[in-house]
Amino acid sequence: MSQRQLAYVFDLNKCIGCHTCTMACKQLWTNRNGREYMYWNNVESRPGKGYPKNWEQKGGGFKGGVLQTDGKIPPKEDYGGVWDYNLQEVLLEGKGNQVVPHEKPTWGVNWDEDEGKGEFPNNHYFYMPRICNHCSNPACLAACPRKAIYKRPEDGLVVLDQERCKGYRYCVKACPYGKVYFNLQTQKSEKCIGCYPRVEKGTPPACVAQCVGKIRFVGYRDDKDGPIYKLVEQWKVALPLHAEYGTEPNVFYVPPMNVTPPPFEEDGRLGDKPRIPLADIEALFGPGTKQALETLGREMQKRREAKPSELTELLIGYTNKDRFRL
Amino acid sequence: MTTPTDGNRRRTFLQFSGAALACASVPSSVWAFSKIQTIEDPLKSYPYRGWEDLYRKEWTWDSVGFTTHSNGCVGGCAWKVYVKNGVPMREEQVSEYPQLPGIPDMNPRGCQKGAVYCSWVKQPDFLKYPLKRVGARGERKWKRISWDEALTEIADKVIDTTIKRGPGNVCIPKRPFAVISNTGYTRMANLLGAIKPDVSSMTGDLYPGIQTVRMPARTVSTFDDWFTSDLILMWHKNPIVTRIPDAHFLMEARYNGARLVNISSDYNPSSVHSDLFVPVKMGTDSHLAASIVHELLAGKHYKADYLKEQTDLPFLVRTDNGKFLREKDFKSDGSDQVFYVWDTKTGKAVPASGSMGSKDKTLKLGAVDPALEGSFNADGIAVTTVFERLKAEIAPYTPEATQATTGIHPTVVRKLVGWIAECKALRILDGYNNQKHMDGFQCGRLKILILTLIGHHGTTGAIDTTYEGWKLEGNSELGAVKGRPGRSVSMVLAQWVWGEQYRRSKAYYDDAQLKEQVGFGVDDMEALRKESEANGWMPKWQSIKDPVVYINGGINLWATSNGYSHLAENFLKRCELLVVVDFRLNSGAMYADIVLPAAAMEKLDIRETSVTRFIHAFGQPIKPMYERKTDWQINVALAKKIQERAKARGIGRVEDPELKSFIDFDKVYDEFTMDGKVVTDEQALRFVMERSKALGPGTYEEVMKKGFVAVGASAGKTGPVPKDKPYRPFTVNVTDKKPYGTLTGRLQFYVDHEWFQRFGATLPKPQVKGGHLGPKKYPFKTNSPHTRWGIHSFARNEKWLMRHQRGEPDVCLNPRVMARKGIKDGDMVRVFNSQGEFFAVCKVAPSLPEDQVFSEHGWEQYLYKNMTHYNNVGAELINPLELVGGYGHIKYASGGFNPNRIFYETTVDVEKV
Repeated sequence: MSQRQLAYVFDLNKCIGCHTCTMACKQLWTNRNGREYMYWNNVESRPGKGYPKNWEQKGGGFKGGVLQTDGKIPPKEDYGGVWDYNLQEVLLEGKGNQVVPHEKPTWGVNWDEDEGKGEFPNNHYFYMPRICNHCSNPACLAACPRKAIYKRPEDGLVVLDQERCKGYRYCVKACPYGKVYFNLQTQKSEKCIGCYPRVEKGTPPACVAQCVGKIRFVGYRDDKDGPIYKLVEQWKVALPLHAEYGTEPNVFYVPPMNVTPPPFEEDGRLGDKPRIPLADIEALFGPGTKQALETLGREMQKRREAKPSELTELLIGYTNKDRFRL
Repeated sequence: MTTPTDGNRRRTFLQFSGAALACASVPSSVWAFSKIQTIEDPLKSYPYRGWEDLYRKEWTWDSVGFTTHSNGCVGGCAWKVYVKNGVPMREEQVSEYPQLPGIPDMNPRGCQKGAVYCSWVKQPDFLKYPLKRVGARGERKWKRISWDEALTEIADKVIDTTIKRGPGNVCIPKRPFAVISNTGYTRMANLLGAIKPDVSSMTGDLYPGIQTVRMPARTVSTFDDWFTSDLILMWHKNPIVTRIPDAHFLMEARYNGARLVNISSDYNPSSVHSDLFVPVKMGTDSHLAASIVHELLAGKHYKADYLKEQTDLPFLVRTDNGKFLREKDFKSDGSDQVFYVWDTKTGKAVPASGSMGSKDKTLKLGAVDPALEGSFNADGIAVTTVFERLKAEIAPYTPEATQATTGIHPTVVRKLVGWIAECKALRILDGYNNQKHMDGFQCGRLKILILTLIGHHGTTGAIDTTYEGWKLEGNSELGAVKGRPGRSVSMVLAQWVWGEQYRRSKAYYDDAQLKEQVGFGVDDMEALRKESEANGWMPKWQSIKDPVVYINGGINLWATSNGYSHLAENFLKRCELLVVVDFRLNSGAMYADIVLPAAAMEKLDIRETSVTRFIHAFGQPIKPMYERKTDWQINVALAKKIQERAKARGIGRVEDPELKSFIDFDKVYDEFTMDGKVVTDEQALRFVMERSKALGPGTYEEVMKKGFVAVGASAGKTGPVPKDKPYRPFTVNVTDKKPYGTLTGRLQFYVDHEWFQRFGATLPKPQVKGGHLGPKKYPFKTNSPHTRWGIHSFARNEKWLMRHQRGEPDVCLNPRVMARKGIKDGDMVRVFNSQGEFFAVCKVAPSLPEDQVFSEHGWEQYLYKNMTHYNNVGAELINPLELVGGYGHIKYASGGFNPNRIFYETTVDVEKV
C-alpha cells in the first residue's frame, strides 16, 4: 500500500463547464505523440453519454471484490473525432470554398454539451469533470498481466510503466471509468499521471492549478487539517463517483444542488419538485447524496441568515493555499 | 507535429478490438514474463521506477515569459508562456494576485482559449508575412511581398486619395485589444485626418439607454465586488459562459449567502447555478422590468431620501408641455439647464443644485426637502414631479398585464420583487444582449431604475454593464494630436450608408408591422438619420466621404453587422485599397488587397480593462515570429514610409478646412514619434505608464517582472480605487454628494428632448409593444450570443476547441421544433428569410424555447457552405432615440452614445437540407 494517498475534491456546484482544466492537461501532456485522442481530463455534461461515449456501460471494475473481465475496449468512434482543417488550402492557396474538417464529425469528446434531460423550461444539466480516480483498489492494476501498473508509495498516484507495458489493454478493459487509453503510436497503454512531476515539486496538478472555477481541492487524505479530510470525512459532502464499481476512487465530488432553480408548473407558477430528481444524482454518487445535499442546503441557508458556516467557508476556498495542500 | 495519418489510425483501431480478444484467449504460458523480473503485488511495492523520468522530462522548458490574450476579450489575465527550442509550448496562469481582506482572490484567471493559445499559433491561419492579393477580392490568392513593398503602396495610396478626393476618405479604426496597439492607430488616424469608426457601436456593445441616466454608462465594479452582493440578477448576461475567469465569484457569493437569479430566454449555463430562473420571452425584458418597477412602486419599496438627493425623480415637470420646469420659464435670461424641485418646507419651487447650469456643484439638499409626489403651482405654472409621472406611466404594467407578453407568471415576478425589496446589496449584471434588441434602450433605463429605486446604485450595489478601462492619462496623451481630432463616426451609421443597409432593411421589414410595434418604420429611420446629421447631432462623415483607403487593424468589418455579404459587396465598391492588419487571416482579411501580419502574444504592451484592479503585460515572452511586427512598429513604419514618399514627391501640407486642420505629409513620422521620443514599443509603453497617475515610474518594470501590476486610486473614472476593497463605481456621488455628468446632475430618468416626447419615451417604459419586429411569416427569432468557445471569431477554428464542439458551425433548436420539421440531431439545415440564408448542422437543445434559432456567434464566414454567414439573414434597425443630440449629456460620443447595433429582431425560418 502506498504510504500516503493524494486525493481530490471537485465541487460540481462551482463547475462552470469551461474546460480550462481539459485544455491545461491537453497542452501539457496529450497534444502529441499518439495521445491526441486522449483526454486524461475531460468535462462532460450530465445527464449525458460522457467520454468515452457511454463509459458507464463499458463494464470492468469489481463486483463483490471480484475483478470483472467483461469490460469492453471502447472503439475509436466512442472517443470522438480528431479532425483537422484545410485552413492552408482554403485561406492561403484559394482552393475550395469552405474550411471543413478532414473527416465528417459524428461524435466528439463534448458532443452532447448542455443537452441534459427534460423539457424547457424544466430541463436540467450540469457539468462533471473527470480524471483518473487514482483508486485505492485500481481495477487497471489488478487486471494488468504484466504488473506494469502500480501505486506510488509517496502519493498513491496510479501510474503505468511505459517501459514495462506491452500494450495488452487489459487495463483499458478493466477501468470502469474509461480512463485508461491505448497509445497507437507507442503501442502502450497510457493514462493520467496525476501530474506527479509537479506534485513532487509541491505544485498541484495542472488541471487543479489551472481550474478557473476554483472547484478543485487537492491534498492528502490523512491531512486532518486539509480540505479533503474535512469535506470527505468530516462534513461528508464530497462523495466518490460510482463507488459501486469497487475501485475506491480518490476523486470525490460535491454533488450538484438539485432543488434549484425551481421548475415551473403548467400555468407558469413555480413548482415544488426538485429540478433534478434526487435518484438521478444518487445513481452517480450513491446513498450519501441525500445527506450531503441536505448538509449543503442547511449551511447555505445559515449564510443567507448571516450566520457563520465553516462548510461554506471551506467550499469558497478563498486562496490557492486554502484549496491546495501538498 | 508527428502524428499518424487518420487513415492509418482508423485501420489500427479497427484491429484493436480483435487483437484484444485474441490476447484474452491466449493461454497464460504465452505471456513472456521470463525476460523480466516478476513483481509480487504492484499494489504493495514496485521496484522499477526509473522510467518515471519520461514524463518528468516533458515538464521542462528553456525560458518563461509573461503574456495576456486580449483578442477582443476584456478578461485581462496574467499567463506564463513556457518556451522550448524557441517555440511557445504551453501556458499556465501566473496565479499570484494578492488577496483583499475577506474576499476570495482572483487566482487563477484565464480560460480554455488562453490555455490553448500556444497550440493555435501553429495553425496555418497564423499570419507570417505581408501578403498581396493576386486574384479577385475574396479569392484568397496571394503573393508574399516585403514590408517595404506593402508600405510603399499604402503610403502612396493614402497620399493620392487625400490629394484627389480630399481629406477624410481614409478610414482607420482602432484596435481595441491592448493599449499601445490601440493608440497607435488612433494617433495615425488623427495625423491623417482619417475617419475613426466607433467600434463599440459596430459590435453592439453600447449602452445608450443607460448613458441617458448616468455618465458613463459603460462601467463596472471590479468583478471581485460580486462577492459582496446578496442578490445578483444575471440579465441579458450569461457570465458562466462569457466571464469565465470571474464566474467563480458568483458561486462564492452564493456560498456566502447571496441569491443568484438568471433572467434569460433560454436555460443557459448561468441558469444551472441560479436560485431562480426567469424564462422571459426573448426581447420582452422591458415589460418584465416595467412590472418589477411597478411592484416596487406599488409596495413602496423605494428609498425616498436617496431618490430626493441622487435622482431627478423629484424634479418638476410642466403639465402643459411635459418639459422640465427651467429657470428660463421664470426669467427670459434664465438658464435652460437649471431645474426645480418642490420644497415641502417652504411650499415653493426652488432650484435644484448640481445640474449643468447650476452654480452649486453639489447634490447636498441643505434645508430643502423635495417633494417626490404631488402637483403644484409654481408661480402660475402647473407642475408635477417626475416621480408622479413615472407612477402614472408605469401603472399599466402590472405583472398580470405583462404576463401575456413576457410569459412570466405574476407570482414569479412578485417573488423576485420580494427578494429585490429585502436585499441589502443588489447587483445587476447587464449584458450586451440587452441593447441588441430594439427595446434595449428603454430596458436599460428600467434596469438601472430598479437598482436606483431601492437606493443601491453607488452604495451597496451596482449595475455592471461593461468594463470602462482604467484612466490612463498617458494613453490619452499618446493618442491625441493637438488641433487634429480626426473624424469620429458611428459605425452603425457608416455601415448603414456605405453598406446600403437602408435598401436592404426596407426590402425585409414590414413597415406597417414596425409602426404598430414601435411607431416608426424603415423610411422613418432613414429620414430621422438624415435629420440627426443635419442637426449636427450625429457626425455626417459617412454621408460625404467614402472609405477609399481602409486600414483595418481592428475587427472584421462585416462579421459584427447584419447582412454580411450585402454589406461586404457594397462597402468594397467604395473602397479602393483595403488593408487588413491582423495576427491571423480571418474571413474579413480574405477580401483584403494587402494583409499585414501583426504580433499578438509576442508584443510589448499592456491590457487595461477594469474588470480587475490589475494591468496585464504583454511581456514579449518571445520576439515577433516570422516577419510579424507589433502594431506600434507597423504604425511607426507606415509613418516613416508616408513621410519618405511625401518628401520624394514634393508633397507637404494639405489643408483640411472641414476640421479647420491640416495634414503634414512630410512630417508624419516626426509627429508620430514625437520627434523620436516614442519610436520603440518600450518607449511608447513607458510614455503611457509613466505619465499616468494611477501607474507612474517603476510600474513598467513591475508589470514586466510579475505579469501584472495594480492600479492606483486615480484609475477609476467614477471614483477612487480603494486599496483594501473591490472597486465600485459612482460611490463618490453618494458619499461626497458629487453631481453626475448628466444634464440634471442626477441619475436622470426623465428626458424632455423633443424626440423623446415624440416617441413617448420621456420616461423608462417599454418602447416595443411586445411582439416581433421581423416579418411574422418567419416563425423564429435569431439569437447569436457570445460563446464559451471563442473570443468573438478568435479561436473559432482552433482544433482542440472545435473538437469539443460539433467541428463545424451549428444551429441549436428545441427538440419539439426539430420533430415538427423532421430534423434530426446532426442534420444539415438551412436558415433563411427573404434577405439571405446560411447552412449549419443542427444540434438538439432542450434548453431553448421553441421560438428561437440559436447559433452562438463568431463563426468565420469561411466555415460555412457557400461562404454564407450567420448574419446573412440579419437586417439592420436604428432606434431614433439613439440619434438624439444637443441635449446636455445626450450627444454623440464614441464608445458612449450613438446608435447601437440591433441584431435580435430578425425573424427566419429553418428547414432540413
